Order: sequence, then C-alpha cells, then structure tokens
Amino acid sequence: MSNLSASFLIILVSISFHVRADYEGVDGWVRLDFFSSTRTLDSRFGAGSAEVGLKYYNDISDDMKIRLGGELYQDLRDGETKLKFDETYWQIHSNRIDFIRIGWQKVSWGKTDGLNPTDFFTPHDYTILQPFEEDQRRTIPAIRVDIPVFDAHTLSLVVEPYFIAEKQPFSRDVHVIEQKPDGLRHPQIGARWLSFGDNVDWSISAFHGFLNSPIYEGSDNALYRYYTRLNGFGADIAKNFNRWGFRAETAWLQPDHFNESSIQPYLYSVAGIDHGDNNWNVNFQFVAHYTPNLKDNRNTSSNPITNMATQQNAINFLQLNEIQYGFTSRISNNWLNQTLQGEILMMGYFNPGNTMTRASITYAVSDNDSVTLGGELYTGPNVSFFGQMKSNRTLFVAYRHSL
Amino acid sequence: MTRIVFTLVLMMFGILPIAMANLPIDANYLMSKNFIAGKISAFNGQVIMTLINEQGQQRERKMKMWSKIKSNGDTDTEVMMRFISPADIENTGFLQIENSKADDDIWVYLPALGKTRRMVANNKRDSFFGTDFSYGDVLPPAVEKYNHRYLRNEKVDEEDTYVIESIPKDTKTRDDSGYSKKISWIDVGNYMERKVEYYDISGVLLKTQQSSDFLLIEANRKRWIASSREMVNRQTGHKTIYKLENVTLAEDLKDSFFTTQTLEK
Repeated sequence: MSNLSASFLIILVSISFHVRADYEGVDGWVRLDFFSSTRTLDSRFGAGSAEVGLKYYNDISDDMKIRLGGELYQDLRDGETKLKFDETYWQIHSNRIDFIRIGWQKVSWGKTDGLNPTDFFTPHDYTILQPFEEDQRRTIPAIRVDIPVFDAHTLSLVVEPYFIAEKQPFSRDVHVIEQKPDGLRHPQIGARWLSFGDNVDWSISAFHGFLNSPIYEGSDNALYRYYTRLNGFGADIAKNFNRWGFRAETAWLQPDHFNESSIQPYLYSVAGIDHGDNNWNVNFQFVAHYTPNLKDNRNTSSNPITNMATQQNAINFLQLNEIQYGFTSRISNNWLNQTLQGEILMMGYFNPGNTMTRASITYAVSDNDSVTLGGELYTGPNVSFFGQMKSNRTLFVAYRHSL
Repeated sequence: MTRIVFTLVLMMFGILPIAMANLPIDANYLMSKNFIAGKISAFNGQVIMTLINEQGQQRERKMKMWSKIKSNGDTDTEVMMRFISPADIENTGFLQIENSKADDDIWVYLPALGKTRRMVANNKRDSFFGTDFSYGDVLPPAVEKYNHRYLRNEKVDEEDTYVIESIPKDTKTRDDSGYSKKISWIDVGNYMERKVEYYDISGVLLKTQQSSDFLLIEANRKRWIASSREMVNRQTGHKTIYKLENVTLAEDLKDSFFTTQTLEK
C-alpha cells in the first residue's frame, strides 16, 4: 500500500469514528474456492483460494457518505496473501453536482456485455483464480465528479493519479522487467457525456492516459513489460426495440508512440442484442477489431526475445490480422424464485478460430450461503488469444458465506 | 298545489334510488378510479418482502422505496428501489419510469460491476428479484389496454367490493404481462384492490394477491396505499409477503432524483 493510500485510509477512518452518522453498518463475507487448474499457463493440477471481505458504510448525512472496503485474498497453493481495496471512498453531493467521489472506486464505462471498448479506466486481474467478471474487475484510486448538465444529461469527469496495471497470465522462462508509469506525474484523465431516457441511452467519451494491458518489448537478454500512453475516444448506445435490446460500443485507441514491436492504433467495436423471456436471457454480440495498415512484425528479428514480444503483443491486442472478428454469447436462466441460476458464456475469435466457454450453476442455499459449480474450456492454436490459455482449463467449486 | 308538489317530491325520492340502483355499473369507470386511487404525488418508505416456499423456508428482502408522479401533467409514475439486504444484492438499485404513451424505461444498477443496465421493458412477466411479484405488478397497467366487465358485488374481509374482470385487448399486452385475465375485487369505499386473481396465458389460475392495511396518504386527493400485500403463486405454492413501513409523503422529491446517476451514487 502506498503512503498516499495509507494516509487517505487513515483520514477516512478518523472521520468515520468522530462523526455521528445517520446510518452505518458493517457487512462481510468469507469465500472458499477450489479449481482443478491454475491461471499461470501451466498444467499444474489443483489450486484453491480463501477470501475474507469486509465493508463498512457510513451515511453521515443525505449529502455525504464514507465507504471502507477491503479483501484479504490468499492463494492456498502458494500461500501468497494479497490485500485489495474494495470501494473505499468519501462522497459528497449537492444540488449543483450529482456527486464528487474521492478514493478507491469502480469506474465502469460501456453498455455492451462483458467486453467494453470504452472502459478505459478499469484494469482486470486475469491471474486471480475466480473467473467471474465482478471478481476480475479492480477498483482504482480516482477522483470522479458527475455534473448534471441539463435534463437527462450528465458530464462525468475522472482523474486517476495512481496507475493500476492489468494482470494477465504469462508464463515464460525469461526474466521480465516491468516498467510502470508514475501516476502522480502523469495522471490519467477522462470525460464522458451521458444521456438516458426515452427508450435510448447513449454516451460519448474521451480518455488520455495509459493502456492498462501490458506491452512487451525484447532486448538482448530481457523482456520488458510496459504500459503505453494513449488517447482514446469512444461512444456507446443502448436502445430497446419491443422485446429486444440493442447494445453497441466502439472506441478508437491511439498510442502516443508505437514502433515495430509495440501495438498499433486500432478501432475496437462490439454490437449485439439482448432478449429475455420467462426467466431466460439470451445475449449475442459481434466483435470487430480493426488495425488499419497493420504491419506484421512477428518473427522478423534475429533476437528471439524480440520475436517473442511482438508475437505476444499481436496475440493480446488481436493484431494477428488487420481485421479480427469475434463474438460473445451468453445464455442464462433461473429457477425456484431465482435461488438457482445457470449460465453458459462463450467468447471467441475467428481467423484463427479460438474460443473460451464457461458454464456455471449457482444455488443460494439460504440468504447468506451460496454454492457455485462451473468449468472453463479454451480452444484454438497456441498462437491465438484463447488458444494460449488451453492449459488453464478448469473445473471449479466455490462456497460463499455472507456475515 | 302544495299538495301536488309535495307528492311529486316524495315520488322522486322514492323512484330515483330505485332507478339509480338499476343503472349498469361502469367497469371502465371503476378501474379508472382504482388506477387513480393509488397515484400518490410522492412518497418514500421501507419495504420488507418475505419469500416463503412450499416447505415453509423463508428468505427476506429489505429495500428503500421512493415513488413520484412525473411533473409532466400525466399520471405516469417514477419508482426507485434500493436493496438493503440480503448482502448478496445489497445496494442493487432499480429504477422504473412509466411512459403511458410508450414502453416504460427500466434500469438495474449492479454494484458488483459498478454499472447500470437498461432492461427490456417488455419483460414485465419476469419475477421481480425472485419474488412472486412480477415487474409488471410494480406499477398498475394502463386501464385502456384491457376490456373490463363488472361481474358482481362481494365482501372481502367484511368490506364491500366490486368484482371486475379485465382481459387484455391485444396479444402484445397479454404476452408482455403474462396474464390472459385478471379478476379484481375493488373496495367500494376507497377503490383500492383488496384481492386480485391472475390467470396465465393458458387461462389457468396463476397467482392471487390479497391486500390490507390501507393508509390514506393524501387525504385532500383521496390517495391510498396498501401497506400489506400477500402474493401466492397457486401453481408452485410459493408466496411473498410484502410490508411497507415508515411511509412518508415526500413533497420535496424532484424528477431529477429519478435518474441513473442517483442509482450509481
């Protein structure tokens, strides 16, 4: 934990203990998981994790509140323990602003399901054993201000002064040197104009900061992992047509500097439909990733580490071809008054064909206890986004108890 | 002359009530009165829903609720709910903005993702967060979408009621709501529903709702609210008991409160 984060936490805790609240309380949970496989691109069998989470909430008044949340996560296989901030922030609002929120928070942009090109701020942790989107999304330290502009329009401004990197599975027998940007010297900033209501929601957004996903660059004897500066521009829309929901999202991402081994500017788009009926829900989306004038620089260097880097970048950023098409599909249903919920999610890309399929079923034994069973399967050649993760295929079981 | 006038007046008071008693009861009028009776300008409160399955196992949902009639001069209602418990749905938010001339706008805020999702409004037959109430039961349906027929008078909980049958005018309304027919027992005094029977698409009895503990929230406009409801699914044996507590008239609630930004606060 950085000194700044620790200081901020101390301030919040002090305020919470000294100010009389209109409403306050504590929640917590315990979670135990077992996975048949790890997420480190190896074929090791058996991995488990334990997690304890606590949330404290304090509504000081109608216009001010404090949230303190954290999770202690232990990988039972390696004994590694991590402390993660959940939502930990101070928030105020008034007649002129919807709210100002300062601290660790979720800044989630985008309306499509699962894949969000305009979600510039949110880093994911794909090395964590738990597979669900809400487990992989991380909070960020930021200042967010939402200002109502006029009827049903809001301007949201975000400044993130501390960079949080995305974590991706990576297993190589090469020494990796990581270079992270200094968030205080180069804060990330974003602005989003939102409109909602009258059967359609839309937004446009702009971002200047760093790509959360790492880029690899090779040298003579080391592999560097760094995070490039970029500008991003995006838009999204959600509209209903009778019983069908249409969702679309697109973003243009322009790295500040790019060379032969890094990624090149690209357009990333997702569009699809959502339909529900009698507790069933079906969602299907088409994905397109377009890199104009793509230069394929893989395997053009005499240095094998450089070739490894360019290949990994092309796989991770879907730049194996100038246009890469893909899809996502999700089918879910619930039974017994939503105590039993099942879902099948499938995502994939073409040229080359590679997929990820996840099936899960969750039963709420009581209001405080739930059990989830599931599995993940990856297919495709090794030189593809999901194909490289084939050794991460897994069956899992999770038990969660809310305190 | 005085005797003739006096006799005519006596006849009028004798004949008129008999004549009025034989006038056909206007079911559309009664359902319009029912629709308006629950349209409170603005209020807030706390809702506790207890879900009970056939084996008697109970689960509880607690939420805060805010409701307001839109300022556009119609009777369209805005409703926001925020779950307090259980922990796995705590802080989940629900916002519904009624549009009498179009589909309603409905959003759900998912705190685990930090996102607000627009829902397809025509899924009104779907269960409201696992309860026996559907999304379509949250706000009463538009009167003109149904053909209403008066059946009889009957007592419910020792109170006089009009029994009205309502059948959707078109297949869209029927399919959206999931009901082929409703029979409502409308209180003669306050025009609130004391009991409702819901029939599924096949015409089989699906659910029954019983309401009680009516509160007069706006005396000058004669607007009421049922603080207790019990919805029983007759096909599964599952039931949901709904209790509304701490109801307060909230005249300072503004339309600007009912936004997706409020859901995300």
